[in-house]
Amino acid sequence: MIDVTKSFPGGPSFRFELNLRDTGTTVLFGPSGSGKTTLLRMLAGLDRPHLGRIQIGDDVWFDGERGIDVATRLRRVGYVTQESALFPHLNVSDNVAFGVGAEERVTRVGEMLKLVGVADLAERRPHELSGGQKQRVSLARAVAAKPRILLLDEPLSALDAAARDSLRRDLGRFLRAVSLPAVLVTHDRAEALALGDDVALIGEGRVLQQGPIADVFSRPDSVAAARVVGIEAVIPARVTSRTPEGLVTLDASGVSLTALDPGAAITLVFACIRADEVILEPGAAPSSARNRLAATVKAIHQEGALVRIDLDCGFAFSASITRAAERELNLSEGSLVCAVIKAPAIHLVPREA
Amino acid sequence: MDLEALRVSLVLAAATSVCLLVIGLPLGYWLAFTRSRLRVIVEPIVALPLVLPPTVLGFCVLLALGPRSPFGQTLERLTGHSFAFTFEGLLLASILYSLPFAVQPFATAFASVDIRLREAAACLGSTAAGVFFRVVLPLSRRGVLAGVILSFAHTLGEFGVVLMVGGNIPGVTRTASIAIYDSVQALDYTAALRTSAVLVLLSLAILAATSHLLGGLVLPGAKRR
Repeated sequence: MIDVTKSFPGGPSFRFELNLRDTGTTVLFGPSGSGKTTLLRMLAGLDRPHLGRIQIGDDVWFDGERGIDVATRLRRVGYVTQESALFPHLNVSDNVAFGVGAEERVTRVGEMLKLVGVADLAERRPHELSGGQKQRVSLARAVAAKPRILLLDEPLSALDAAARDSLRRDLGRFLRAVSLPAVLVTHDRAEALALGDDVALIGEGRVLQQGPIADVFSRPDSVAAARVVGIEAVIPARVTSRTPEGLVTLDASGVSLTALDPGAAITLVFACIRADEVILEPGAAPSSARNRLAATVKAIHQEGALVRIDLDCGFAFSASITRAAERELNLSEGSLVCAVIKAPAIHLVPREA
Repeated sequence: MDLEALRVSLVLAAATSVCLLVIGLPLGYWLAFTRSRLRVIVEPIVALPLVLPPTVLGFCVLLALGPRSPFGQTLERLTGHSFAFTFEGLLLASILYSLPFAVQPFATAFASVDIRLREAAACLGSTAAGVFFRVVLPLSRRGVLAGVILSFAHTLGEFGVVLMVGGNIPGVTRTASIAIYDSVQALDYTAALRTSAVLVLLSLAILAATSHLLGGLVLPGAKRR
């Protein structure tokens, strides 16, 4: 349970209220400068809130009124930053052993290095590691000290694309393996969807919306929240078949969709569909055609020059069209339309069961 | 050549360096990281010997150690003898005189340790002392070594302070630089030249060894190779 206020002289001020999951990963999602890192640092005790309260489980870490401010070292947080802060004078295994008691050292360090897949690098110095390897060691070091919560501040953003993809997959496995509550700061949708259970949207110096990640990303409940996530449907789906030409067929809540093959052996995905990629045609759709969906109009929102139509075809999604198009289609709540989505416009993000 | 005086100089320089290591590490750490307003007062006091004429510093110390000052009286009561014109008094003056040459490189080295490393250590459960001894100090060893050597070399070369505080007692407070001055006064240029040559060679050797050890110059602010 977190409710903290912090302001910077002549700068932004923040008031964050959110609840963290007891297990699983809460993503703090929002644009740069929205205060995500500040919130994480307040959790770690590295920055001090001006007011408020931080309680993790039964432990009160900060209470402005009662003058409680538990020191960082006593909070037991596993903190991993964007640029890994490995101790340059220690080799990999001494880095991982830093927060481990002497009696457990040997077993715990070996176990952790194996878990993050760098067991063969134990004797290396940090400057001999790649960016991805450094982050793996940072994770191992954070978890080896047996924290009660993991704080991950954009752990993948300093990596090149290949290292990022590989570490993102492994980080998901790792987070489940260590079964610690985690808070992940990111502004990357794919990272949020792949790793998060809950998401808190951060913007305008506060938490705009919090909830299960697919729900929040599909159904932002305010204009501000929609601005942070973009108007995009996020639908849990499963790959049912693949073609040699690189297409996959998906089962999305009983609806069949065709999209580009995300590759590898990925079967569980989030299908993401942006509202401005959806084309509406009058009348009901032929049942067999590819990505031509028979949809019912649920709501119509006027948004300046555009109109956003909320639709349902078995899953909820939206279409963003011009006012002229809306008039031509003569839409009202309950009308049936044919929604057309090109296969490349369905963006697939791997998810875990 | 006055070997006795050279010995006094070396012992004094070594003792000063050791004392400054003990005093300078916590003081440097405090100066590097404190947010206290006291810093505005402490920092100039530490740096004062850089600009003050050594004779002024020596004179102040002499007055402080004298039998009429409360400090001198306390010292005398504690140790049973006066500190003026003794090796201990000279050591005290040398510590003050070389203080900035130790504390400044220490503090600069500590402050240049990435704050994220200190934060990482704290998150991993380290106490402030643990952060210092396991992270900050090992990463500052070049700066610490530079501070120790600079204070050693600086003490070796001091003259005005020694003249004021130490007097000129052979084997006790008569250092090499005083011996050289005396030789010149006595027109014994050969002796002065010999002692000077030893000091020059010794200082060069120390600096060369340090430069080799650190892989670069030891002057504050100088970049390593």
